[in-house]
Parts: sequence; C-alpha cells; structure tokens
Amino acid sequence: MKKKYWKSLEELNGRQQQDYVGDHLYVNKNEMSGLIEEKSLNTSSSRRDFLKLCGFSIATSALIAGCERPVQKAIPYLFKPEEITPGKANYYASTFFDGDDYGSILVKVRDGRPIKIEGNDLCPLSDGSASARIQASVLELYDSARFRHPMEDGSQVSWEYADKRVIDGLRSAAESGGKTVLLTGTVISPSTKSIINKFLQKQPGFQWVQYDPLSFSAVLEANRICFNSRVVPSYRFDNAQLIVGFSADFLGTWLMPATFAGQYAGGRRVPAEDPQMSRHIQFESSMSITGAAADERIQVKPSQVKGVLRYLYDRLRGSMPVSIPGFDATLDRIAAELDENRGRSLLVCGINDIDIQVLVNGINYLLGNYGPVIDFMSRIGLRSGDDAAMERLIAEMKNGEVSALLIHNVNPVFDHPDGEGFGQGMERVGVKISLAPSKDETSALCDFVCPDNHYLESWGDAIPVTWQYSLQQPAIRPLGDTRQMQDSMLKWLGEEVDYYTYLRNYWQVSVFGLPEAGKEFDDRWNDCLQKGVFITSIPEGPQPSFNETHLAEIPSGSTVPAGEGFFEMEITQSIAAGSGRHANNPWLQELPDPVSKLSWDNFLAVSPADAESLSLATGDIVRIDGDIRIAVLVQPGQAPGTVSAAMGYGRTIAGKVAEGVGVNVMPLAGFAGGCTDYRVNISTPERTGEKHKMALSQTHHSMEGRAIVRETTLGEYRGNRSAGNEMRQKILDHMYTLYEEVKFDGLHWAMAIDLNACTGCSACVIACQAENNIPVIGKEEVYRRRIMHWMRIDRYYSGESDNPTVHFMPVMCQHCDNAPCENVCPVSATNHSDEGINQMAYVRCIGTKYCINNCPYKVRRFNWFGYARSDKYNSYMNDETGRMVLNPDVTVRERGIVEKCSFCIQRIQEAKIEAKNEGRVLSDEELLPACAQTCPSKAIIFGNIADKNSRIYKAFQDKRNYHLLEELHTLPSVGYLTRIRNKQS
Amino acid sequence: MQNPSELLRTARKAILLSCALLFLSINVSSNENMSALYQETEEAGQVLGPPTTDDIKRGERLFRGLISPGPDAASCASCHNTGLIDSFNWNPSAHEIALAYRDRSHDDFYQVVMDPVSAKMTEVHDSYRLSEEEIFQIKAWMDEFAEHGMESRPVITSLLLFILLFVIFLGAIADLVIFKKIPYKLIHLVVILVAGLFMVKNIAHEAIALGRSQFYEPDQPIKFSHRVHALENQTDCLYCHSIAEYSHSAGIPSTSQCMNCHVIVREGTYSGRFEINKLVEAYENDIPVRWIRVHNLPDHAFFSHAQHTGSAGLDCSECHGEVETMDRVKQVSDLSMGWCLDCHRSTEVDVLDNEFYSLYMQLREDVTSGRIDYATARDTGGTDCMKCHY
Repeated sequence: MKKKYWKSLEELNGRQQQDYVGDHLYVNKNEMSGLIEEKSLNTSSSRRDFLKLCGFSIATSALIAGCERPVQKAIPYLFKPEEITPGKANYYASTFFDGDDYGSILVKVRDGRPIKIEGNDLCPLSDGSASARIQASVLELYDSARFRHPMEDGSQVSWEYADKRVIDGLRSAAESGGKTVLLTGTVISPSTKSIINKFLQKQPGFQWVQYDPLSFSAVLEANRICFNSRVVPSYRFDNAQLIVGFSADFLGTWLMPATFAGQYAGGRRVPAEDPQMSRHIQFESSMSITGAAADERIQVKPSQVKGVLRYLYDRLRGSMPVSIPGFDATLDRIAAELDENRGRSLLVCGINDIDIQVLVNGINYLLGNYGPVIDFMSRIGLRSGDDAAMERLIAEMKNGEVSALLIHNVNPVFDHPDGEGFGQGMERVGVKISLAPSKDETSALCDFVCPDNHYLESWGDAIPVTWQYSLQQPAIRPLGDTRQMQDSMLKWLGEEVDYYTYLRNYWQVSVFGLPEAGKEFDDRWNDCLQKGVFITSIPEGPQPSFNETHLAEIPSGSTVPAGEGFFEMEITQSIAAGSGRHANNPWLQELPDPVSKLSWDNFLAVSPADAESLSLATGDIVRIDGDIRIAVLVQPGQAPGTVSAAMGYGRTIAGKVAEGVGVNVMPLAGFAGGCTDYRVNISTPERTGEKHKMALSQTHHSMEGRAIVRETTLGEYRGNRSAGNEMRQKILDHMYTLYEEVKFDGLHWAMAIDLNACTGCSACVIACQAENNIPVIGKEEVYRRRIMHWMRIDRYYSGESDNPTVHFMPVMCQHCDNAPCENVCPVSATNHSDEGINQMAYVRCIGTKYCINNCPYKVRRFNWFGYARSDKYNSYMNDETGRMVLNPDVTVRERGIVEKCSFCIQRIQEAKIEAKNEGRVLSDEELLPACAQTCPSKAIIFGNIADKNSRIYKAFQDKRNYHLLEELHTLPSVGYLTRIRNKQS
Repeated sequence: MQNPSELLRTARKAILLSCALLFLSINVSSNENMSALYQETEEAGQVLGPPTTDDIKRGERLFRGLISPGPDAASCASCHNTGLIDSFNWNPSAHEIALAYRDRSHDDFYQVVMDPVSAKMTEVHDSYRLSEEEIFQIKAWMDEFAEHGMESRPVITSLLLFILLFVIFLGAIADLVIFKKIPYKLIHLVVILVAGLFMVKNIAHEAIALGRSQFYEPDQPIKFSHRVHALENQTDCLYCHSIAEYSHSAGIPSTSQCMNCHVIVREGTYSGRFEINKLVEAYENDIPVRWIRVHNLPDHAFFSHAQHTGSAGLDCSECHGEVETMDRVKQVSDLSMGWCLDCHRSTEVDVLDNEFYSLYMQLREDVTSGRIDYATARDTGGTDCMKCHY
C-alpha cells in the first residue's frame, strides 16, 4: 500500500490549508501604513503621475550618480601582526563550553574579527562538527546586551572600585561568620577548579555550588547508588546495535547531542555491500527529533516510564513482571530484542528521577552494556550540578545564612523552578556579585556586576571527558571593559598573577607534569594551543561493581497516573533555546524547531486527539496552572493525555531580541526525591479565546501528494538495493529530451544527502546563516512566510496522526542543470555556470520574482525589505556591533532582490584559487560548504561529480540515490539517498 | 509653425527634457585634489607676540615675492604653491607648511628657513636674505593662512561647458521660433546640431563613466612616489605589496614596513625631509597613515590578487599601468566589468602544465589536438557571474 505522507493536520484531513489566525496573508492596512503612505493607497494614480515619478526618479538618480564618488581611505596597519594577512582568514582552535554544551572548535577570524565557528576535526568528540547553538555563539560576542563595564546597582564603576568593594564585601562576610557561596554552572576547567579550591582554602565559610538548569542530578545520584561513583559515564552509541531511548533526546538536546549524533549516524549508515544498521526504539511522550529518527516510536506517558522499565528489568532478569495494560506484548518483544543484543545494546533515559535512572542502570548492567557501550573509565565532565545542593542553598539564603554570593554562568532566577524563591533569598544575602557577561534576571538583582568576557575573548581549558584536555584561547581582545571570571577570582584572592600565566603554570605542572617551564613546555603548549585538544590515552580497566540494594526497593508496576481532569506535562528543551541562556541570539530565535517548525516562540504541544476533545487549535492561547498563558500547537505524535512545552523562553531581562519571546514554563517544574522534576501534572488547559500569532515556517511551501521522501525497510533493502526507489528507474526510462545533454568538463559540483544519517538537528541551517550573511527578519516577517534561510529542514509525517513517522529532508537550491528559474529571468540574473552551479547575480536582479514562482522547490528567497539597514527588523545586521560578524566574502543583499543557496561559492572559489596557485588537483576532502562541514552526522556529501573517483560520484551511483521531483526533468545537482528504517515487520 | 501655442508647448517640453538631461551631466569636480591632511582641522596654535595686520600683510608679500626675499632668490610661492594645483609638486604647499609650523615657535621656523638641514633646501634657501622680523611676518601670515586653507580657483568643468552649450542651444531655438532675428535658418540648424551633438556626447560620456573613476589621481597625505621607489631605487612591487601573491588584497604596507628602510633613509631626493618626517611622525605617535584609496572595486565584485598574480601570472602593470613611472598613483584602467571580461575572453590559460586543470580532460584534448589554439579563461568558466559576484 502506498504510504500517505502529510505535512500538517489540515493536509491529512483533506481540509484546505487554513490560516491559523484570520487572513494574515493579506497584510492589513494598519500594518502597511508604516510602509506605504496612506494617500497612495486611496487615490488612483494616472499615467501622467507615473511619468512624472519616472522623470523625477531618473533625474534624482542621475543627480546622485553624477556626483563624485566619495573619497575612500585605505588605512594600513601601523605594525602588521605577523600572522594576519588582510583578506585571508585565520583559524584558531579553541573551546566552547557554556555550562550546557561542550565543543572543540575552530574560530574563523577575518581581519581580527571572529566571524564563524567550525568544529575541530582533531577532536574525536566534535569530529569537525558543531551544533546549532555552538555555531550561533559567535553572534553573542557582538551582542549589544553585553555588559561593557563593571557596575554597582546599575551604574558604571571602575574595576579598581569594584574590586575593592568586592574584596571588602568578602572580608566582612568572613568576619560575620556567614557563608560565602560561589554559585556556578558545571565547571569542567581544571585550572578554574584549582582557583576555586584556593578560594575554598582562603575564605572561611566558603561553599561552592554547581547548578545545571538542564539537570543530570538523577543520573549522578543513581550512579552513586549503583556504582558508588557520582559521575556521568561516556556512552558509545556507535557500539550499540540496539538503542532504546526513554524521553532522552540524545540527538537534539541530551548531554552531548552533536557527539552522539555522529556516533549514532555511524551505526545508521547502510553500506550497500553488506546492509547492516543499528536499531533504535524510542519511548517518549513529546515528539523529539530523536523520536523522529527512531525505527519504532512508542508513546508513553511520563508516569508510565518507571513501570515500563521495571517490566523490562523483571522480564530480562527472568522474574515475573507486573503487567502494564496495553504495553505487555510490545515490552516482551523489546525485552527479547535486548536479550539478543547483550553487550551491544544501550538504554538511555532523560528523566531526572533517581528510581528511573537506577532501573536504567540495572537493565544496562543486566545486559552487560557496561564496558563496551557505557564506560565508567572515561567519564563525561558535563552536568555535575547538584539539584539538592541548590535546594539547600535557597533555604539557607532565605534563612539569612549566606553573607556573600558570587554567581557565575547561571541564571537561577529565570531557569530554576523556584526562581522566585531564589530571588527572595537573594534579598537576604549581604553582598551579591554577578559575573554574568550580559544582562539577565539574576544579575539584575545583584549589587555588583563584574562582567565576564565572552568565551571568544578568554583563555581557558576544559576536560570534557577523562581522556581529553581542551584549550581555549581568545580570538579577539575584549570588546568592552570586561574581565574574564578567572582573572576576577585571582584578583579577589589577592594573587598577583594573571589567569593566562596561571593557566600556563597549571598546565606545566598538572597536565604535562613538567618541573620547570622551558622549551619543552613551550613546544607542547604551543602544539596543544594549535590543535585545541590534548588527548591522553583512553583509560582501560574494570567497570565498577553494581549494587542492587536500591533497585530491589523500587516497587513494581505503574505509578499513579494523573487523575481525571489532569494532564501530564513534560518540560522539554528545544534545539534552539536550550536552557535559555542564548535567548538573546536572533539566529537561534529564528531557527524553526525541526519538528513543529515554529520559530520565535515556545508552545504547548497538545496531541491531535486531545485537541479535538478540548476543541483546541494551533494558535489558541490557553491558561494552564495559575497564571501561565501559552499558545497551543497541535503536535502529531504527542501522547494523548500529555502535553509538553520547552523551557528557555519567556526571558524578561535579556536584551531586545529575547525579551517577550515565549513563556517561561520552569516555574511549573517541581522538586522530588532530591532532583528537579521536569514532569508535572497540570489541570486541563483552559481556553482563553485569544489567539496567538504562530510564526510557522513550513506550511507555506507544500509539495502536495508527490513522492518526496523515499523510504524502505532494511529487510526490503537487503533483497533489493533499489527498494523504495523503484520509481527512479521508471522516471529515467521516460526521460526524453530534444535538447542536447549538458556536459561539464572539469568541475561539476553536486551534493548528496543521506536521509538515513540526517537527524534534523538544524546545525546546517545556522552554519549557512553564519557563512552567507543571511538576515534575521523577526517574528512578524516569519509569520508572513518570508523566512530567509537558504537551507531549510522540511518535515513530513506519514502514517497515523496520533503517532506518525516523521521524515526530515534538508532542502536548499537544487542547482538544477535544467533549471526552471533560469529560463524565466528577464534580465538573466540567474543562469548556469560552467561548474553546474545555478548562479545568482544580485546586482543584476530586478526583483520580478518570476524565478521564485517557477522554482518547484521553493528555495529562492526574496528580500522584501532592506533587512540590513532598517531598524524595523530584529536583525543583527542593523546593529552597530552585530554587523561585525558579517562574512566579508559574501555580499549583503539589498532590498528587492532574490537570493538562494550558492553551494558556498566563496569557499569553492577560495579552495580553487589555492589549488590553482599551487598547481595541484583540487581534492575532494578540502572543500566543503558550511552545511556539510558542520553536519554532526556527516549526512551531507559534497564534491565534484565530474571526478569519477570522488565520494559524491559514488554516492550518485548508489541505487538509493534519487532527486527531488525528478519527474520534472529539472536534473538537480542535489541527490537524496533513500531512507532505510530497521523495522522488524 | 502655424500654431504658436503648440510650439510654445513643444519648447517647454524641450526645456523640461533638457533640464532632466542637465542633471545627468552634473559633474562636480573640486576637491578631488584635496589632500587628506587638509580636511582635518586642528586646533589653532599659539602665536608669540601678537602680530599686527601690517605684519601679516607684509608677510604675505614676502611670501609671494612682491617684496624680494633676497638678491636672485625665487619667491617662496614659486616652490610652495598657495593654491590648489593639478600638477604634482614635490615641495610642500604653503598650507602644509603653515599647518606643520602653526604650533611651533618662531625660532624653529627661522631655523628651518634660514639654516635648513636637508641638502636640497639648503641649496634653494641659500640665497635668502631675510631678517628675523621678516621671518616673523611670514610666519604671522602663514598662521593665518593655516586657518583659511588653500585658495581654490574656478575649474571649467564639463558642467559649465554643458550649460553654455545648452544656453546657445536654447537661444538658437528661441530665435528660430520666436525672435527670428537671424535671417538664415542654416545658422540655426548648424548651431542646434553642433550644440545638440556635443550635449549628447557629453551625456553619453558621463553616463558610461558613472561610478567609474578612470584617471583618478588624488593627492596622498604623504607624497609617496612609486617612481622613486620602484624605478629609481628598483624596489620590487612585491617587497611592499607582499600579500598580493596569496591574498585577495594586494595590501598596503604597514607603516612599520616603510620604516624598514626609512629608519635610515630620512631625506628624499626630491622632497627633502618634509614628507619622510610625516611618516616618522606617524610611526612614532602611533597614528596610522590615512592613504586615499585609488583603485576601488564595488563591494559586490570579488577580485583576488592571488589568482591573477599567481596561477594567471599577470604582471602588476597589466592592470595598474606603469606605476613605476608615476609620482602620484593614477588609475589607468577603468576597472569596468567589460574590461575584465575582455581579458578573460582572450587571455591564454596554461591548462597543460598546471595540474589543477587535469580534470578538464576535454579542454586539454582540444588544446593538444589543435582544435583550439589555446584555452582562455572563458573556457575554464572565467566569464561566469559567480566567479566574481557572490
């Protein structure tokens, strides 16, 4: 039977695509009034007026053009630094760690300005890739919401004054006998830890609390209970043949998503010679990209997870499990599958509940996964925050036991469930010092702000996993009068040394173990600095023994489900927003959520069944528990009886981009069993009758009823390499043309996307935006379906609306050799290059938009306004400092012209010129567009298809390869490899 | 000619049209030659002893040579121009000197005029017989001159010519239609034709040159002469423009690089010490030199020096002209797209020896088999839009 693919519920139900809020596509007059004068809308204009206007505009333009060109200055360096060549980019290896995510990175610095982040391919964790948030972090360097100088109660002070007051404050805190608390996010920098230890020794009553808004407390605690080791072990998704996830979005947001996506994709790539792939089963209530990637997605309510795990544990142990209605058969099957994959399976769970995590540990232990798949010998340093300690801190603060509070890299007033309580507690603290780099809710309540540098302005180090050291070096001088946190701490400790020297000394003694600084140290230090990482041997040894005591105490059976009139709500994370610390980043705000396709908002995901029974529709504002009012999005795949909403939205003090975007749902979260509980029971969402504008980016380019995503199962693929892609042969057989076939001599660029590897993580979208100066247009314009991204992730559903299969498909300009857009351009602004690129000459474009209308892929974008110039748009480009991030190798587009993917022509040209000048063949490996470069799962293959030895040529020869809408005979240069799912049936 | 009101309407239309065209030809060319230094106003300096109006007047006369500065001595103004000039003058202009000495004492000024250090100045100033008072008067005038700036003189631009022709053109039409003073219509015809043709030519010329600046030759803040450096002292282009071989940009050398030589060379053959002093001063005071950019490509055109000097093997002069003969750099080529493409269509590309082109099998075969004489940049995609515009 032919599978029915659909993109929205309206499409599935055969309804017309209705607009969620009135006729918003027709811009009403009030909105237009700012753009066009009222008068010209009302009066009819005659031919004569037109001619007058014509004459006037010609005369004016002639007058302007006739004037002398402005005198331009060319100001060379006074002293040119040796390593800088004007016009050429330098790449510096550094480290990204914001408290949530780690990445070893390369910073592209052009003429002294960092303009792009790329993954460091020498780091096994990054492997050349960087997630969307890491990619976007460069923009925050130029954020105008950053603090420019130290402040006392909101007014500027000098560093000398601030230091004196802080030191006095700390001294009087110590003398008063109260506690001095340093509250940080997870710290993975060994040298910073040693500075904190110095503080611990020097300051009486000093206490260090680590707090993670994305908590892993339960995992840590469960590991302490089971293995007597309070750490996060490393996971090897590439070694797992069977992956079972429980509400763990490990491809999108859980722990180290970019690393895991790379490992995961390794097991999901199907070699044609020997078709093998891992199998992935995901249990979840809300729809994540991990659930979308799974071979089998099973809906489960958060309250049922414990019972399900207990069932699996009991079944695997051979004891009689307590039945869970509706799940038994499935669980028996999965237990059997797990049994078959002992030692090569992996269970992960994202629920912050100790009992659940102990059960997960128990099952993994039973299956013998510790060692080959989960490794306690190499530990992950991320997420060492302790929820219980944070709870205690709030209580202590409220009791007035805390005399001094230093806050670095966390914003608990916003993202802690009891943020309000934390704020109240702060009132009773003697001296409150924030080290926040930019304004946030917590620093607003502090007495002193001693702003930290942006990480691209700072030195640093990190140990993300036991066997890897990672160095961080500044790529630019601090833009404001800021000082990095470690320097401030050293200053307050009364140390004479600056952090750079301290860091070098630390590495000399503690990392390299060298007795004295000298040539050997310099060489090793410089080597590490250049490579960004220092990899020690991966430790081997026995895994810790398992303690079953606690496990035995966990009761069998399902926990009490939410009663009548209640909904189980899960607070999730979105790929773009995360914990909300990057909320003032317009790139991330405008990045559509890969599943819901909504940007500039969070939403309450409601299952289609519940939406129908509650008569809710997308865009309805509902009231949930108390005062939280949030817009509904009907999300196919959401488990009935559950709802979910992402954290990280609803910032109130963050800068002009973030403020007022979305709703903060963290106050709903609770605290249970020593851990923050992201699962809550809420009363039935109550309609308010109001509507919210939903800036959805997908419904505006529907490809109705055509076979766009092609899919097969592993079983079928084993029998037939063209399975799922049979229609390609039929189409090829019917391709007749009267025109001569276009031949490419030398270079013919092409791209193939392995739909099996693509997870929809959207890192490519941000990479493309950073590389190609793509404007941010703001919610209003996205709402008008004008999003500018050159690379979009199309999402399709198939199957039932309650639990559909989700398909992702990255779509960018297909660079058709027979391009429909090229034929219709009246001024030949778009045409075909000798290298097979559909090229777009912006200066020639007059904005007829014929090409947009004639493009079957809808990949061309129109600059409705001068986004780079007008203050009307929430764009980084019209910001004094924000525009420093622009790539000087790419034109900033004007109003009224069309733009689209260029295959990163500037990168192609650069690589070609280099190869030409060196007189050598251009290698397949050295040249990648930004999207392919950053893809964590290496799903994008790019190269020269005219070269028969290239990887791309081989990919195009693969029987899985097909082209989007190839029946139109557009002959795209972008191919897609048919998706294969490892389904049992 | 029967209906005068219709004719009037026609005339009015013609005038309107001409006005529009007039706009088209406007070409304001005045401060093209203004040096960057003059545009920067500095605070007025102090003057020792208040000079009287007479002092200033006498100072000006002395400077301009109305009062002889000494037997057989040329006037100051004969070397140090007081007005804007088109030609290149090695000697500092009166205004530059005035600015340089505004904040310095009379003794300094006396010293430099009467007992100069540099050889060239010593030779020229040798015949000066000026008293201390006269020097004081010259300085007094110069201090005032520093405030006024250079004297501008009317420049006959194409605009003035255009207006003149336009008036004649209109006059001829008016006489033909209304006044009828000149009996021979042939005269009208000739005048209208000639003036009209000139105007059309002018408009066409200006329209083509829109946004281009061929023959642009601005005064630089320091009178750096490529002739002296590249021709007389045989410095290689790439010694200073070293990154031209591996970057998009050819690069203007940093001030510290100039100082590689000028740490020793402190006196120029033609310029004495005045110009080199500016460099040294900039270097010592950490003020970058604000050169005037001569070759300006529009922002949407990406050009790589590396490719053109590297694999293409072009000589600098092929685009920049004989820079080594220029005292003041002048844009020789118009840098238009047509000019680029002409070269791309005709210049040979060495596809056989450069391994990069080994992928271009068809092209190589065409060359080796003699089907085409040689491969051009166009054959390797050198005329594609996205080779330069992205």
